[in-house]
Amino acid sequence: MSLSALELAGLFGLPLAAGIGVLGWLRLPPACARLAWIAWAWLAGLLVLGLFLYAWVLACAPFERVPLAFGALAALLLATGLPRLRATERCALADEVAAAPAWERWLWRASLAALLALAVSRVAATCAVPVMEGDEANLWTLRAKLLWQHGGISAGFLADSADIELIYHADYPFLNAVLQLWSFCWAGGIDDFAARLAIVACGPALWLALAGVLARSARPWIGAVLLWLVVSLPQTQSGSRVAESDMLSAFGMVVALDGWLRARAGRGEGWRVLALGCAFFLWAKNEGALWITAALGGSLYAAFLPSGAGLADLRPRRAWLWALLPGLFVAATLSYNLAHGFSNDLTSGDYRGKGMLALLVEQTPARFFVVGPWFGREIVFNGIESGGLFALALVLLVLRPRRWMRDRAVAPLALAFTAALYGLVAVYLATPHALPLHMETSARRVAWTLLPIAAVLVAHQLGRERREPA
Amino acid sequence: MSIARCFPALLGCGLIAFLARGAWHEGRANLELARRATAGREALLRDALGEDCELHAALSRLDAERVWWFEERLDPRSMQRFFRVRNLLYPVRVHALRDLPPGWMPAPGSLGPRDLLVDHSPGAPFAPRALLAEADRGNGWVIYRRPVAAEAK
Repeated sequence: MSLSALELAGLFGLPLAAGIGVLGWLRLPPACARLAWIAWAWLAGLLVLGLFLYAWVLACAPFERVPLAFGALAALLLATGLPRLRATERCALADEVAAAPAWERWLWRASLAALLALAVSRVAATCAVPVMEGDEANLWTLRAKLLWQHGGISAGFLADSADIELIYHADYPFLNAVLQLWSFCWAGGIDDFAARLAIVACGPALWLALAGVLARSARPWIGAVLLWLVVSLPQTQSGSRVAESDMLSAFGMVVALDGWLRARAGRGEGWRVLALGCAFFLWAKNEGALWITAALGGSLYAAFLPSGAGLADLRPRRAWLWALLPGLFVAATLSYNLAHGFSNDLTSGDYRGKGMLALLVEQTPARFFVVGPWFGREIVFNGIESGGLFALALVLLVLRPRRWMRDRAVAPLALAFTAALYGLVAVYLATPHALPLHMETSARRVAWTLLPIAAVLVAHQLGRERREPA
Repeated sequence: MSIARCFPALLGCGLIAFLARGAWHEGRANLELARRATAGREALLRDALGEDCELHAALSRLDAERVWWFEERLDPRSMQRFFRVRNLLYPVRVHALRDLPPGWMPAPGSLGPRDLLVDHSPGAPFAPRALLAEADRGNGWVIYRRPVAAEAK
């Protein structure tokens, strides 16, 4: 890798500084999230960086000035955000760790330290392997290379994006590509070794964010076992080393989940954290549309369960204005695709001349008994792929229905998780692509993005029953 | 009673110990790789590409806009080699001709400098092999270049 230690410090440090500044503006001090706060800062920093770079490539401005220009923005955000951080009083949500016996506290801390060290070692190891194959190279990094080569979203870039001999999926969101472009800006050119850095660094951040949620959900030994299970899976190992967007998607969803649980616990910061997480996963991958649809559907359904407040839950409130933040990133992707005539191969119906719904109806009878058993065998009940967590979550939801149905925070989550799994199955029922190949090449890693959510559900179902806030 | 209450936690600790063992080995392998990351680009490319390094080096030495690269086989290994080398050579655009459909002919002017390597006369088959001179050859691949005047057929 061609980057010096100073350049690496800039590559990682500037987004983090910008993120800390953003958290200051959002009045989210470290005290409100202990473990997860640094992960939130990284996520917020990458969002700001992504937006900044997206504006830069739209303007086709010279890339050599990017580090300096973003450095100035990060410094400004940090300088103005820090005083707000100090001025904001916020007490942390109570977690299970402080109240646990000493051996559990030590098990939790040692597990977290070991898993973070492992996650950081994965980031460091990626520097020795160039990006050269798979979707990582053929889609994501190639798009960043095209941006670099054409100096931004220029006529040349658009022509190459439409050339399916060269690259597929011109409609995909830009977060991944601009984060790889960030590495090129520091390297002064295309660098197949450094391209992934900002993206794979989301691995350690994801585990911190997940640990923050698990620490509040169940006893520390349960949280530690779940963390070890998720981090050790082969799919996690491979996903942590590549610049694909599944890690980004999972990271955004865990932060959004944290925000949701906080909002339901009556914490004002919850909506802001939820908005940050949703913005991130919606700008990371098109699957975000499926996850957000499942989440909205789950919330709507849960409003009418015994724990819900019915129509009162759906009454508009000021906090909902935070939905404008993820809306901004969705609008960025939609407007780009509308302006240049790019569309999704699955949902647009331009592949076989039929829409996704029509294909779903037409293909389900023939495919259901192929896709359903495949998902059961290869994902849900597969100990190697999912550590049994999908199966365990579903079994616990069935065995202890009152536990989640009575919880205003967990009921929508459980329904959204189940809907997301069914939605994923429906995608493969409706796909216009050749079925075995499409499932084999994508279903495991897309399903993996739901695994941290499954871990949180398992923790809730095994943890102490929480009392609703007054 | 207390053993029964402790049993799940003991089981959990056992599982953690088992997973930690795997993590230890993975962490050591990761650190070894991270140490290799300082070895320099060429050495790392050799590690990553293995025997494909030969083709990558051959194409890197040439002006790839003026050569054609032929994969002689269609097996998964050759496909993998094509994508790996193509990705690493970008922004140089290389084309492996093994997967072109019969009768395919690039439109005049569509290949940039490489157009010079194609016979665009009416009815001429796209058969650059017949027009080109072999530049390099390896395990399952051949690189052709435009012949110098003395070699022209």
